[in-house]
Amino acid sequence: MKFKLIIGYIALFTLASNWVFGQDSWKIDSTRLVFYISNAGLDVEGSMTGITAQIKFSKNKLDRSLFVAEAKPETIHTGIKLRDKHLKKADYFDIEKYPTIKIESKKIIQSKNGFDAYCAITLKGQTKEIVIPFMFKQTNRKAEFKGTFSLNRLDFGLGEKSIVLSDTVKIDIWAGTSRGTN
Amino acid sequence: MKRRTLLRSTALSVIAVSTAAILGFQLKSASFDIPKTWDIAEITKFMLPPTDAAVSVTPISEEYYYKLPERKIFKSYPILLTDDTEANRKYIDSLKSLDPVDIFQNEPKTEQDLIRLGEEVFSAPLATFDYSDSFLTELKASIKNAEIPISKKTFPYYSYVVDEKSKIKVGVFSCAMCHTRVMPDGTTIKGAQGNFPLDKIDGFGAENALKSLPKEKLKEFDEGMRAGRNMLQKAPWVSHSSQTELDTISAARIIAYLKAIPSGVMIRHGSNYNQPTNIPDLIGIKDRKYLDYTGLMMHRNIGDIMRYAAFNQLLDMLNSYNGYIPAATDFKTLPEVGKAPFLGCSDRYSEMQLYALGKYLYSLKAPKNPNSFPPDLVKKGELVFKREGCVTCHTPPLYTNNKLTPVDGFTPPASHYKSYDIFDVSVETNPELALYTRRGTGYYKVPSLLGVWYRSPFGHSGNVATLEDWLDKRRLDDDYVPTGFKPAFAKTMAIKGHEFGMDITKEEKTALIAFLKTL
Repeated sequence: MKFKLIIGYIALFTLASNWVFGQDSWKIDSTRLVFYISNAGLDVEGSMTGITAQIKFSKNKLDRSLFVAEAKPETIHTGIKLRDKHLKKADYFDIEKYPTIKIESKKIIQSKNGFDAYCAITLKGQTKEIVIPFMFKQTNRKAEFKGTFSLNRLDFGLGEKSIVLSDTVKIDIWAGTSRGTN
Repeated sequence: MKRRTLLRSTALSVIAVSTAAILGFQLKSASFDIPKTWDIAEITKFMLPPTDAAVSVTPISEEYYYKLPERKIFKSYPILLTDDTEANRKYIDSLKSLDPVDIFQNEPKTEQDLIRLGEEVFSAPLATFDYSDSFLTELKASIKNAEIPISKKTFPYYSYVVDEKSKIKVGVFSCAMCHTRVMPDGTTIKGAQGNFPLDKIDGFGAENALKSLPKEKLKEFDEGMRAGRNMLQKAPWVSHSSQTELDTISAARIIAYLKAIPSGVMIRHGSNYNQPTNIPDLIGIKDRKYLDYTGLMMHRNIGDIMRYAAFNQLLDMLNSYNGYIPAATDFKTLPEVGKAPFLGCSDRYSEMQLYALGKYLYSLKAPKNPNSFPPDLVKKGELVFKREGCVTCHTPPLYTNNKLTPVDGFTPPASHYKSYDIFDVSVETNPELALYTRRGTGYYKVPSLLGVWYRSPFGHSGNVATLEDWLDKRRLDDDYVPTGFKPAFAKTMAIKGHEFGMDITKEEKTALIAFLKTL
């Protein structure tokens, strides 16, 4: 009898914590990743699609909030077919060897205008720490996450120093989510 | 043009003048630091390997090279194109009265001296034939037949040479022959993509010879033409049909191929009938990192220019390609020094001549651009140029990133990424020149767009005549009729690849072309 009671408590605790934490899980409905880089003084815009992510976020429980997102550079699109083909090669994303870009939050804190996610980004085999400032906007059971950050492409071996192509790439990420888990 | 044809036939028929071999040494100058041309260690670094990694290329040894006798370069004089027979006679007589002038009789002292002498080397013929009274008449007939662009007063591709008192010779096969451009207004641009239709002239010459040939001589004629073209074009390790065809090709077929080559394009030795090379613009060569459309040779310093000139004014015909020596009578035995049976293979330039040539080539400047477009149009074109990503490869200010792009069908070995500047994506143009010829490396270099206003045709084999055609999407279709080089037996042919700047509006295209023509 005592054994059954213990099992019952465990089950109840698990259900309760799932209910509590489930409240903070956000299921991806749609995503957008757009990047901008200056080439000869003009901004080139590109995108990646098929972003996947697990998000647990509550602005009241930032210490328990986290996300892990992945992007596939094979989906890169800049509007010029041959350029996309080149970007997938070894001197840029090297997609055969490194098919995934991963961003994993380590800590999220409140900022003046929203939140700052301290993350580890793994791109082309290199892991670096970055901070992604983001906004969170919730409407009932829906929420949007919108972040912007910049990278130095040379830190990740994306191409080489160029007199026309900027080192800095600006990245906008947007995710439309609803309550629940993927 | 019988004499000229005879001369050309002589080259192709493998008869060369040989002189006594003398020991050659690197020329030392107190004033100039002249690199050693035939430095095997440097040559090994500067030559890119053939596409097929199993083929090794061995040039002649330093000992062989420096035993070749040095060429004497005599002052050359322009060929006046005049209908005034009396005026021409007086001009020829005046030349006959001149003493031969060895242009290197006095060692140059200044950079300007070098440049001036280098220009003479540029214009110096590799071969000559005796001038005759009928020369000008024959030349004019040839100009008409082969539609040779000519300048207002002179025939800038050949020259008169006085290497013996009272004798005039006509000099041919100089650098200037292929690298002089005559513009529509009759002005000439030295060093530019030339428009002398050498192959077409050869085709007409051989066709005339064939017409008057007795039937019993046909077999011999076929064999002679075939042997010559095998020397010039064969890459025996390549199994592509364009190469195997050379084993049995007839004179008539060769003639058809030759006649199909337009001005600005040539079947450079080491290329082939359907894979000819666009003649490169030498203006701005100082800033190019690779030479030849296939990037066959690197350009790291003036020594490499000297090496390029030595090889391509025809000592590469003595290279051994896995034992195949193009200029050897039996294709395998290196001829005795100074007795190679091929034009340009039995003597060599002196180190000073090559150095001066390099200095002259480095000094070449584009002429004043006569194009004038509304500034707004040019600005708009520049924006399109940037937006369409052209800047990535055609990066200002050189309008090339000076890199090599691998062609479809070739994967660069890992070691190449360390040795060469590789822009690792194919722009999907026809890969055959880079894959199936002696000049093939598996790459095309990214050409500079500087000076496109005076150049034509475009593409590594010169398949389209104008920038408008290059940006015309219809060229990608199989029923396209190339406006530049069209292979002899093809009625239509898609000119694939480099699909940039095609999906833009008509106005944007006009602006882009205006911008390009200002470069």
